[in-house]
Amino acid sequence: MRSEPVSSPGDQPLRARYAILRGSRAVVCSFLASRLLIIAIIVLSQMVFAPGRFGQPTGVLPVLTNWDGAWYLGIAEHGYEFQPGVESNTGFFPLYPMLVRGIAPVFRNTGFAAVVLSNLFLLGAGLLLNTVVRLDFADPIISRTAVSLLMFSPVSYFFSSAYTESTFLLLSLAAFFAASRKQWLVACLCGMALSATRNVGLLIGLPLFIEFVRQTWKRDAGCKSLLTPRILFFALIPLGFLSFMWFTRVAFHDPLAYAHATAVWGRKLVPPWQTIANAKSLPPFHLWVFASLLGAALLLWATGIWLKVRLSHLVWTGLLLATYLCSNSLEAMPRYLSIVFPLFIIMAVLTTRFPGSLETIFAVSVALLTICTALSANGYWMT
Amino acid sequence: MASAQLAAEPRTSRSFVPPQVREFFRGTGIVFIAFFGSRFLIVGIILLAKMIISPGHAWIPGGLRTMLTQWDGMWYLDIARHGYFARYETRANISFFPFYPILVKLVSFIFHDFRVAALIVSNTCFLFAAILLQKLIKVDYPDEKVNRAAIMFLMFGPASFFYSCAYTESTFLLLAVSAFLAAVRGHWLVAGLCGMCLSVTRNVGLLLTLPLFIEYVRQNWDTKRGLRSLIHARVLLLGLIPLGLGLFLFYGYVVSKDPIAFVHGHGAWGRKFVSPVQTFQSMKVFPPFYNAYHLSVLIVGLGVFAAAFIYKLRLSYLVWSAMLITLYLCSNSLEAIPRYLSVVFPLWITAGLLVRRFEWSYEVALASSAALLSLCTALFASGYWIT
Repeated sequence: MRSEPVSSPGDQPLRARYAILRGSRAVVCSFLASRLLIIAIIVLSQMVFAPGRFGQPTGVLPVLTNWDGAWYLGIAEHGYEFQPGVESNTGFFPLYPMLVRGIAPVFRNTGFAAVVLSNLFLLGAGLLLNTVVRLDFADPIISRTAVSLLMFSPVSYFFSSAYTESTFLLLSLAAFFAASRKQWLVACLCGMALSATRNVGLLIGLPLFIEFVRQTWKRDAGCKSLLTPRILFFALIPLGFLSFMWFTRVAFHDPLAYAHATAVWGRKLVPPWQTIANAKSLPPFHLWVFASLLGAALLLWATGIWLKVRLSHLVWTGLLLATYLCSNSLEAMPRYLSIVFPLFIIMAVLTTRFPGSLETIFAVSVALLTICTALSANGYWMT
Repeated sequence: MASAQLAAEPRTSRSFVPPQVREFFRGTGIVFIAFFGSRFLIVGIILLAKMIISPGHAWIPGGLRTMLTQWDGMWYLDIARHGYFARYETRANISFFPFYPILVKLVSFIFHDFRVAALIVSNTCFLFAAILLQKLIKVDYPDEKVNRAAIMFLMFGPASFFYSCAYTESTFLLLAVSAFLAAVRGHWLVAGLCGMCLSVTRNVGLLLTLPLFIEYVRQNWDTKRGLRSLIHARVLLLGLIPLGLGLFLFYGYVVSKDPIAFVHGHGAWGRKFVSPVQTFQSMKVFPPFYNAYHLSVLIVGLGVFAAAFIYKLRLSYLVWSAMLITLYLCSNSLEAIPRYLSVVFPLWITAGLLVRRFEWSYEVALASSAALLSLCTALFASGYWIT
């Protein structure tokens, strides 16, 4: 199934330079269509739905900046605050709010700036996903399908919200793309930014290292073949995470302030069976949606092994899934899964194997997106 | 050649499926995938929506069967259970045509549950309607992509959950597509019988006479012989179509001494023949969501219908679509317009042609369609007014 890379940067420098723009029209089309659809669903559903428990926000922007978005905007506007034992914004990592704060003066509205930033990152992530898929699969239908499934994924409205999803997705794809082109400084700088976006960003070190080994390993030289100065770039990856720890140590005398803050929301490292046992406490709708999407993700991951998808992609997926399974709660599972981009690649490959399945999978995804967006827009708990 | 025949022989003798049946189902894999995919999706949305969405004003307790047999479905089940009554001071079930409830009654002898029987009739009719539509499209457009897109739009159309409800949509669609397919293949007795059943399924079924006559003229017209070329015993078979409606009128006369009892019954729902301007004026009474929903579906439907002229669809398809759309626009209300448009099958064919021409639009159109389908299904399941 795997085909040779479409072009090699060394052989065709110009084509490689603009590789990210190949097939970009389809990506932009998917991006615009999915965003307009989300706006339409928000507007239409607010006309007819009875409000949920948390009150009906009016308009599109409040929908895209509530829940965690409000925490990120709080950090961008007022900085960090930490009080042990109560909900604190140190549970949220700093890169995204820093970027929002950076561009907020242009828009004079922090919420709007955050939404613009998230959407730009999503567009960038779409272009990068299209390129990353083409590295392994020459068939343009696979890359186009992967991008469409990403844009219309069940909770893809979070990519346009004041959340870190699109930033995380962009940085992880950029890191893999740079790694595939042997630009290890760029890849590790992206990894560093990723670990300052979310704690799980730190995990990218392993798949990037696997990619490094794949490219550098020489059987006759053995382990010595890996000992090049470029390997030192990997030390950059934890720097993002450590910088945040250092900051909270200086500001609040607690380097683990982020972990203590997330513990208030019930997040802690537990065995997977405890996370699954805790799922019983979720309301039926959320239990069904979260559990079935997690089940589908695990199945896709196993299928990815069978389809011999790139090892680094499989390891990245496995690490993220394992972390989610050990996080004490299935809450926000669809959102967490939405950033595991290899799942979209595996789904795209599968649809080419089974004709007629593409439209069905696509329609199921759009249907879930519609329901989740409508619920989120009308004061129902969707996180 | 001989050795190939010898090799094929044992395989044929082992098959218990008659060759005609195998031929009928050949190439229908995509229809089955889309059918089961879309139906499971609808069932999933109904079950999920009932778990979380705050109930609307018309909420009724019950499970999946109750949800799929509410609104008009209850009227059809009432006819299947107890027959007709005609009382004009209240809404009367004589407004609902008998063919679908007759089928439900017949199937209920097997399943002993009218709701299950109704759902089996609707879903079976829908599956066969899709298979026959696929065959009908192949007659004029052998391109597999056109066919596939048309079937997907049919399956994931904004009102496609009605095909699986106790409504007449799937029966109507099956009979209309069957009549056209039979006519195109020159089987005029089958076409006439399907047309007869169609005119007993819904009043607009009567309109099929004209497009089928156009198809008859297209096949039999001989410039040298002029009108005489049309004079053949087969043309009388088209008379079966109004016969169906005639029988129902006669029944209405016997039951209530009023042959147009169904027309009087319709009046109770505010349905009457008016100018399209008046139909649009009646929008004022609906809340903004319904106006946005009905209008956007109608505009897209009219746009696709206009494109059907550009793509030069068969004249009979164009006339059938034009008559149905005109009648809906003159029915004093845009209520249920997405459902009514869902049976105008030439629109699905044109949509397939359009996305074949503009490939980028397939994803956009399918996503919009699936989104509206899920939103409307969720509202339908939660007791909001969706009819």
